[in-house]
Amino acid sequence: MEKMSTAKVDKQSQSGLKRTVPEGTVEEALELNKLYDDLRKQLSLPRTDRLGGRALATWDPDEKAVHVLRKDGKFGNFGYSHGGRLYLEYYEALYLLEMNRLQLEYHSMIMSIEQAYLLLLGETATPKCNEYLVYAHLTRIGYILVRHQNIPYYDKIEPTEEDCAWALALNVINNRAIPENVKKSPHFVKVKKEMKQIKECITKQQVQEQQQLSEADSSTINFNGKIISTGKRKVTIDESENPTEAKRRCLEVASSQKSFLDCLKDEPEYKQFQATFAKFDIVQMGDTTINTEDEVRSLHIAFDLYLHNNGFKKRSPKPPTFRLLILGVHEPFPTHAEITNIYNLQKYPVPILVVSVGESKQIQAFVYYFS
Amino acid sequence: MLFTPIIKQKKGGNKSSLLPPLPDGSPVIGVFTGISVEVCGAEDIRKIYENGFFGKGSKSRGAPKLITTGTIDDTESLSLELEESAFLAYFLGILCIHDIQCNEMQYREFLEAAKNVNSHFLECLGSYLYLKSKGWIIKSGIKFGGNFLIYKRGPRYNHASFIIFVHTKSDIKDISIKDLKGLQRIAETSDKDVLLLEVSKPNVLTYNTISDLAALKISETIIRRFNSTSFVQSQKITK
Repeated sequence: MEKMSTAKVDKQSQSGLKRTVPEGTVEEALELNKLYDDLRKQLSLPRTDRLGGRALATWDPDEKAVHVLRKDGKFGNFGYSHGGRLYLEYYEALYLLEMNRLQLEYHSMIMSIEQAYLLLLGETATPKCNEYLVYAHLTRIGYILVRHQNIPYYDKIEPTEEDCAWALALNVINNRAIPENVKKSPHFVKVKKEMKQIKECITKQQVQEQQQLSEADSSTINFNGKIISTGKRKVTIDESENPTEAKRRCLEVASSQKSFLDCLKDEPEYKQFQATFAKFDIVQMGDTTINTEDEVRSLHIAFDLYLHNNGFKKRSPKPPTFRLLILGVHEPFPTHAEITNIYNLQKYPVPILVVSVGESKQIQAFVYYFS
Repeated sequence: MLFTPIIKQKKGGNKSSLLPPLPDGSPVIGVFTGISVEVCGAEDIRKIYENGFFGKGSKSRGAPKLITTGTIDDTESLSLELEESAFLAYFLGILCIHDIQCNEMQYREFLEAAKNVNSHFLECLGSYLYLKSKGWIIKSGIKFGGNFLIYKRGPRYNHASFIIFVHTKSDIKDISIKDLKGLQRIAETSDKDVLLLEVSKPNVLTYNTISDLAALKISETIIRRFNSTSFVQSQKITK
């Protein structure tokens, strides 16, 4: 148990704005010295601790990771196996150290937490520090964070022809990769061929409409029905008028390209004046796929976030609840193109949380909804 | 996570009357003063304000006193924002904008004048049209730090649902993270959402006719704070 004494905090030093940049004044030096003294006083208090209560780990210089020698307590959400050994990521090791659950050794010498900071986060400024802060904060309040893996998650259900059509349509519209299980499906080749034919039908329509008619008549009736259904579906993606339709997440429409402001169009006022409103419906929503040639920062997702009650298992993870994008102190928020890009690069699209680490290390998360 | 807009009704707003959202009839005269367009005369003020809540009373924070108290004050006028007046004049044809010398201002002439006041006027006008065509009532968003506030039926019946922040692709990098967080904080305490409208325009944008604005394209982003602590605690424990 740790004995904590309440330190008397100088009331003067608490007033005013938060100071995050050193000023180099005499008063500041005095104040800092006082704070250091307080800290030393507190640290020099005798503490009692149970020796066996911690896990034991050592720094593996070849692997450049923390190698766990002895586990203690629940270790289910930590670490990864490599070559039959259990290793901890730098943030996991630091978190366990801070929680007093780990004893870290460096060439069989016990490391202090301060030394561990230097060893694990590095001496130069890197994004590692922010990642660690976010990891520690969210783990403390009860989430499970795992390093981001961009892998698709499959339902065990065999993909149907409809799924194949969806995957192909999303591939064209949102530039989304086609899931492997869909590619392997026996329906895939057939649906792809059919959709290609439909596309040709649509593009050639204006030129040889009459010829097309006779051709359509001669083609199999069975096949014809399919044309209609897949063709329709493609249209509904563009307009996205059926959000209620239950679909499997894997094939869900990513950016539905629907405005968040269209909800008034069912109101009596709007309907009454529909013709007038249509007259000045001049400015339209941009097409997100066109914007890709613009300069886009290469932001990457740091962590996958899971909830405890979803039955998280390290070995066979389910799709995460969110994915985290970490922004440092002065990094601007992602633009529309950037967030869309990141979202669509996911093999299994999940909402993205933008987590910003502030000047005084406060952590704030934001959800983005984008058209 | 699906998005649902916050639409809060005001207490005491009588829902019975179904007001037309846009004025019509013969054009009224407004005078361009350099920063706004002023409409005088009780009849004209009533017509413009009652049908779609355009403008604000020059002697009040919101609705002109003529509407709220019914007193006719000759010195009170209705101040229209530049976007509002451009919309009423050139897209709806209900307003005739005169300059101080009582000469009628044409579309291009007015736009040039407005661009001197607000260098992002074209983007703002584009966003205004975009919002208006979806049936929202738009008021100035200056008191919440944005460009516009949008209401479902008008400030008399609803609280504003969104703070609109208009920006172009290039100046998002200049919007500091603090500003965006501040905007979000204000929005959250007043039960609104921040909606960023990113306007992308072609390199050469002409604005000779009203249909030239079609070259502007808009994308929407809504930023909501995610309360990680309350989210994890609100999850039901399933075993």
